Amino acid sequence: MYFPRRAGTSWRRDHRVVRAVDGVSLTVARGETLSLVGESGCGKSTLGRAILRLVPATSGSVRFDGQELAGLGRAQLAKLRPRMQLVFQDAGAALNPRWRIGRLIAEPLEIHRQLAGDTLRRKVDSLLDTVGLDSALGARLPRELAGGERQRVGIARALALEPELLVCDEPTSALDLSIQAQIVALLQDLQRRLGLSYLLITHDLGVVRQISDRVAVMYLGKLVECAPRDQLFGCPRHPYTQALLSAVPIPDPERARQMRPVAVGGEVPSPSDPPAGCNFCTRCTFKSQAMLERGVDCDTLEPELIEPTPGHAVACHLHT
Amino acid sequence: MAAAPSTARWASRISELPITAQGHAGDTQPLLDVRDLRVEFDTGAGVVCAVDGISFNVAAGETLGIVGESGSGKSVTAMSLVGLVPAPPARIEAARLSLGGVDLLELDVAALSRVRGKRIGFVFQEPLSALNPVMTLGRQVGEVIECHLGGSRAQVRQRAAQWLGRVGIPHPDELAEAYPHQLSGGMRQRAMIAMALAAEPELLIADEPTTALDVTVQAQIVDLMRRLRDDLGMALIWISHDLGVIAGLADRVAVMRAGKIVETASAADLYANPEHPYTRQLMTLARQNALGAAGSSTFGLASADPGTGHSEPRT
Repeated sequence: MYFPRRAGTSWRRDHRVVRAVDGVSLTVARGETLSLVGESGCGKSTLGRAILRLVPATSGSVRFDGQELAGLGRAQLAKLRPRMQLVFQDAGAALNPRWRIGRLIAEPLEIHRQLAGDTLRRKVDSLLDTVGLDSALGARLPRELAGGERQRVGIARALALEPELLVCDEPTSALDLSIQAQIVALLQDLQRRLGLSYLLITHDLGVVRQISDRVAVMYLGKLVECAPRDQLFGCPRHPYTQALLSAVPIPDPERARQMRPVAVGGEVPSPSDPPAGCNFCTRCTFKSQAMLERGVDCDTLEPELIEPTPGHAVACHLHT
Repeated sequence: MAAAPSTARWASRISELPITAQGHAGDTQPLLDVRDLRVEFDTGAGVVCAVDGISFNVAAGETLGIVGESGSGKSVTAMSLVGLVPAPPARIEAARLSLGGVDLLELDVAALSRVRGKRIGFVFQEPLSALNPVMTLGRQVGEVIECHLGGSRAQVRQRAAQWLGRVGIPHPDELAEAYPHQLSGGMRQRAMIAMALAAEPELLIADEPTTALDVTVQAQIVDLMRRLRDDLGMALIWISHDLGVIAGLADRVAVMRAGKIVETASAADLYANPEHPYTRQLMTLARQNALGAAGSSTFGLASADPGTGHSEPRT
């Protein structure tokens, strides 16, 4: 079990603090896929990076297989790094443009496994094969590959050290729909074969629906809802999750015409100046109703993340 | 035209459409008529044919959706209509490219720039790179009004602020003084829509206008566009890779692949009964993706019961 817990990351800007991630707690079980969804700027990528300690968390604890990561020194961290890897959104930017594919995939093996010669070459070929690429591509440069192929190389590189946890940061967002489907299928296949755990960071709810076991929804640096996939899609509880799901355009002119015009108005407030109470209170359609019925002031009182039913957590006054 | 036999079959669907859509010569003339448009680029490594002899038309007040994956030539098509593809290196040829009877290919630079903005508005995908970073929003919208409609400085400024308000920018008088970098992506896209519409064009071309936006903001922009289109009665070409977005807007849809239109049909027809294998494949993927994600979107926001919330999960 991995226990990433209470990660908080902030950037200082003229003495004010931007809380990119604010008091988020979550867990990823072995072999599980947890999807982290939210719109741009909600802190999901920062959270992913904080979990891998690619950015330092301001406070909080991240435990990987029982081991605390927060206080680890460089050398100790380097030992753990092979076990948790990252797949980037834009493989074109993440791969060194001047290195051939074979060398790109070989690099982590040379550093961490001290492989060389034929053993190394065979391992690289088998990794290319694992992600569905011809070993002849090893001699190419990243720019000579199509977008989907580049993403496969990114995945092969992440898999080289046989990690247990793969953090995938928008792995399909830069790709066309048909290529997206292939990459999703590849990730699912790899999980089955290698027993990987995924933390999938994405704004694409279609991908989330296909691949996740559980889904965590973030809004403005905070976790607003976390539930098993079918519960989250079938019975979303947080007003933001409901708005997010209903905003997905449906490829059906009839249904599109029948749909209510806009599920949620307004835009996400600036993270440097978040609302005092509930983060979503500036856009929430239930706000006044909740205030009237329960005497709760969403504008000043921050809702806590609670579990009205086991496994389904939500941070909203409607459910307290 | 040496069209593949399959293309001919799909193209035959066009003739089943009402006359306004097809625009038989002599009958109701379409607003925009494009016949056999071909755009080629001379690269060092040879000639690349980005748009390979496509024909379509748009009637006044009609919305045409153009769908395709990246590299299918949909953006090049849109840009070549208004002379935004630099030639050379491009070579643009068409049997016909006319807007309300005016041949756009014959126009000189000055005449074309009177058409752009005045008769055809354009909304780009990425507002931050399409807007001028050192001009206030009010001036950028005002410039369009000044060039195409004229008026005193005070009038121009007032109308620009009105347009900013009309596209849903709050406090338009104040935000007319703001620069693009001070706004969110959604607000920037609204500002660009205001620019594109300020001279009340007959045709608006929107090239992936919501692709860079978050899904809740995308829903707002689509809703705004639908309202403005109906208010102004303008024709709209909406280009997108997303069949979901197009479904909510288009009367007719053209599917592009590798520089060719592989299928054209009314929106109702195309979504109910996609004929071309490529369209079918795209549709399957889009359904998987969107219906999966929004499978439960039939729940009304107001009907969600905060007390129980124990409805059956749908699969």
